[in-house]
Amino acid sequence: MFLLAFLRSPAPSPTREEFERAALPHLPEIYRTAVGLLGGNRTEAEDLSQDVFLEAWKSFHRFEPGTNIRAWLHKILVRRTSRFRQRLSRLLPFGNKDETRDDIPAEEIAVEVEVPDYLSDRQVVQAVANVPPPFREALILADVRGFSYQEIAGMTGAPIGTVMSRLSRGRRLLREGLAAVAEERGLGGGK
Amino acid sequence: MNQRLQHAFENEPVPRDLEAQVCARLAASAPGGRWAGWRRALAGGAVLAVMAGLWQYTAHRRLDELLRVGLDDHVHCGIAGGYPHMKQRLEMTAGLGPEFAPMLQPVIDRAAAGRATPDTVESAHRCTVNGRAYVHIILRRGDTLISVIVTRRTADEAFPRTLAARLIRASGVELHQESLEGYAVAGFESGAWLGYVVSGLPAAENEALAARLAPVVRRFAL
Repeated sequence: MFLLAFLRSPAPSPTREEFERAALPHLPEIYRTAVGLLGGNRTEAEDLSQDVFLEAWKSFHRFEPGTNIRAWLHKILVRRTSRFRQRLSRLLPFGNKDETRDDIPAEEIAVEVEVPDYLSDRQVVQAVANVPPPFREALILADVRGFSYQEIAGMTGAPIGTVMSRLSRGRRLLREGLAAVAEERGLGGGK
Repeated sequence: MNQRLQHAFENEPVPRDLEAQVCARLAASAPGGRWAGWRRALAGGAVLAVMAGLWQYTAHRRLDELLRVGLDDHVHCGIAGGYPHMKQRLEMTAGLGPEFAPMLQPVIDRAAAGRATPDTVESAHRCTVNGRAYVHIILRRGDTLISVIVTRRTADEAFPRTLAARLIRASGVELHQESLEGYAVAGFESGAWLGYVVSGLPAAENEALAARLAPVVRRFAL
């Protein structure tokens, strides 16, 4: 009897229907963010998106109803992407250096990237995917998903200053990347 | 937020079956509770402990039953004094019968090994207790009687292993010993037979004696 009572949780567990109702509408967004974070690797992005939802389901009891489930799913995604990259970097002989600088002037951070209209969506996504990981992460979370510095710092575990630094650097690298793509195709006027 | 970047990402096609795959994985996975893992582990452990306890209890009862087979004969012949007192070796070998007569001397020799005063043989005979036939050698060490007993075992008689009883290995023989009714009772299997060394000796002394005698008995009780 004691065993049965113990096995039955006193707190009601959330149902799968509840989870699916709350989380599944964000699946396309999570997948697309994963594509960007993983540098355009769509196969890995598909697997990673599934893992994110599975992890979210397993820890759904920790999620407080009424809070931002979108940000929570993105946080899981960012952590998983980071772990994935760490595993990958152990297999690769060289990795990208995580360059950070905390003394970025505010006006430099505010400068958004102007994306030429003549580039296709696919080319734009690929240009973002070509930005090195830590800068790309900040770029996608801030400029594509619209999360605040505070939220990004919470997701990535990096200080706000580092987030700002990475974002600034990410924007600059994206600007250079877009210019290169345009130039390659003879569409733009260079950098 | 950069509208153009956002637009580019929103147009990234999502695999058609992604949602179905996610739902399938969710359906196959149980949700985690705050203590779900611990609860499951503890419940599993408790079930295992209960099962192990039941198994041990049953095994121990069975072991008691089997050791009592030897104790019954020791009490009946030795303690109640109903055994035929013998002085002559010829009488003893005749009492054991041709099958076990050759076992007598090796048993005496092994029991006496390392002792300044060898044990004396009080009796060597065949007897029947509670409808069960026994081959019974009774030795005396000081005031204490020692029974070396052999009896045919039935198909379902096998010594179970338990945590409570001592298990000793002596020259390939597994000895099971317990204290029953104030006597040290060691039992072992020997082919189609069960062998016992029962005495009022301290448990360690009876155990050491049984470890010396069991291999000898095994040579004759096949």
